[in-house]
Amino acid sequence: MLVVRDLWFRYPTSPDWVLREVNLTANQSEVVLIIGASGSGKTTLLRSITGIGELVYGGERKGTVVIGERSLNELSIDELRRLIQIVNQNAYTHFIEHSVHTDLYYSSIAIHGLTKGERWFRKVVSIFKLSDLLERRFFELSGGQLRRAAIAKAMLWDPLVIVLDEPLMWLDDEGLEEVREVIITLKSLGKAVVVFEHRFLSLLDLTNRVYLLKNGTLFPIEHEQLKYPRKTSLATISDASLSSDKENGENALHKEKVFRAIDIWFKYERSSDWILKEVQLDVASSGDNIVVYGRNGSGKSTLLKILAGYLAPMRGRIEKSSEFRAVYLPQNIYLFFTEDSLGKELRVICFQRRGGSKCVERGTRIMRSLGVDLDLSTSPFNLSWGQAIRTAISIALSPGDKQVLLMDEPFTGLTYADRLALAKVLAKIETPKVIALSNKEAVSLMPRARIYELRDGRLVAIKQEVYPEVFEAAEKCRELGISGVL
Amino acid sequence: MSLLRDFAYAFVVSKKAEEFGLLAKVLTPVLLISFLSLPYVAPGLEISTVQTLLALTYETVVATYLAGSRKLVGILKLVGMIIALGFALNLVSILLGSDPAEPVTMGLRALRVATIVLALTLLFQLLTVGEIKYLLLKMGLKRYSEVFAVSMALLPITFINFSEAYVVARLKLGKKNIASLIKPLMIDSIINSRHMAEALYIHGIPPPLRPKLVTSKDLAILVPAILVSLSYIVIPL
Repeated sequence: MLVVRDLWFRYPTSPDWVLREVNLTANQSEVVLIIGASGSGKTTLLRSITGIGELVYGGERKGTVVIGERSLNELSIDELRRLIQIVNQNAYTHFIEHSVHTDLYYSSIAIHGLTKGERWFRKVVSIFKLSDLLERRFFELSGGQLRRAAIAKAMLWDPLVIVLDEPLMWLDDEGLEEVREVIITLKSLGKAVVVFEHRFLSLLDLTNRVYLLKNGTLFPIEHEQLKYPRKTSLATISDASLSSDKENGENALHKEKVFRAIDIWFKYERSSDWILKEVQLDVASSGDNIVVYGRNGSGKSTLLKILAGYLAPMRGRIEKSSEFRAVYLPQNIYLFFTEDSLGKELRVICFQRRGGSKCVERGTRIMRSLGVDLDLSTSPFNLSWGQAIRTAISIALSPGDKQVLLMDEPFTGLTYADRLALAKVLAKIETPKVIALSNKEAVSLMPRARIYELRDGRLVAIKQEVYPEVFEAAEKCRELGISGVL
Repeated sequence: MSLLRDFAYAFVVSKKAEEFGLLAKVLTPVLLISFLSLPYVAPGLEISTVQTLLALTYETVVATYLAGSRKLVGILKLVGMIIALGFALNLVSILLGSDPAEPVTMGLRALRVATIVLALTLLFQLLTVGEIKYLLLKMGLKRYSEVFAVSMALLPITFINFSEAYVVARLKLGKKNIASLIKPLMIDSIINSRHMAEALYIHGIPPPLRPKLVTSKDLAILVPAILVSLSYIVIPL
């Protein structure tokens, strides 16, 4: 269905080829998984097999792309859309109409005409179990629901090939299951499914073939290569790599409290349900790592924003040490940066906190110690995702130790190796942290943290679940070279 | 912040808008806006307080029906904010040496502006993106119809990111430097626009379907709007 032979691609801004001699095949009812480090060329590959690279970005393509036995070069845009469809990382961008029903219905009619369009619309709604979502607005859907609706929209074209770009990004454990179900459905419908995904462990059993994209070239790899032969114990790994975290847990509770959430209740104006109920949380002064685990929409971000002082609780109160200040690192880490260069970022935060030149020097030192050895004139918006997270942490810590980091899903968008590297960075920093996470794989990267689950609005202490395969995958990724961003 | 959220939601189409035909959906707010704008386009003409209040009451009823009772509070806050802004502007003009208007006159003018803004939000709550695209196409503005469609689709995404950028900037740089959130938001919007361009390439922008021109419920929304507009003739100043 999709055959790519000797594909080369480069952008007009650089003489270097981003893709070199790429070969790829995806047959009917097959799921092909493509893994690779950030910057390895995944997005470029996606753009070049659909013609987006040439038409939208003005790039140059060499080699053959055949979809459904027809060359990409001879396809009109309408023919192309009927053969291959893509679902972006940012599934929001697939919707024009605010209502899910209106968007999908209009699209179906536009593609197939009135009678067939209505029939297809009903069929797709039924296959992807969308009837409960139709009356919702696309920006009100959870991550998993949004992804399901975006895949359904792509399926309105009834394409032969469907490409999913990071379908698990920002999804909680439930959303992950939803995407798995959708992939199984696509497979049963005879579609060739190409998946680009960092968080591949939970998709391995669904895939027929796995490719590694490295330095612009695709290498086929065996499933077995991704499964680590030995079962490393969690204790061994955590002691070795996350050791500075070991004082956390019960010990933290005996230290001075810098933030105290006391009997917090909260609900949004439009909601009749309490999103937070009787929430109690103490954050200790040094080395305290707190993980708040919960599904998307469980109230994790709301709790962070209450701790940040941005939202006021309807009942209860927040007690804060006057010496400590909160810094918020959002899910979309690029929203953290407000200046043109890293140097200006440091100077501005240091000026605001009256830190002076010592503060700037400290920030630069922390940046280097966290592996970000960049020129201070570099724009933060040109950093890779992993670099951006480390840089944001460095900037946040530059005014001194009296900070509390509030982090929303910091492991999102990273390979397993880079996730583990970030976990080590977080373990190394003594600054207290409250980290919101929505999947248990990520939670397991913080073995010494105090773990709480937000369930039905209540914050409940839970035990750490052991996922040694996450550490094994990190080690395997490192061996295969699927890291290095951090 | 909740004010801003309410303001953004005032420009999102209501699910109940489907009950009405295109003609009534366009005419209702346009009639109200035209009526309320009379003093601005025809100097010498005035609208009484009773007429303004009549229009405001009717708009509130329609907005509550379309958006639900919870949003009513938000809408009223919005009206209050505009009135307060009107007062503030007049106070500034006093400080700048202009002759102060009577407080009652100031209040009434601000109330009229708030009523016009509310009527404008009704236009967006009643018309789907597809219907506005259809109208623009019929006016021969194909390119603008596509630009409009994309802008309206990006609006909620930008709004979602706004609260995140706001929290970051407030904690990082303090309340006084809150304007620095504009840069990350702009860059994020550019990135989103690029992603959307890719999505549009692969999905296309479906041409708008011919909307329903009239429905059985149209009179319920249109007749009161006509009556409010005619009140200029019926209720003497």
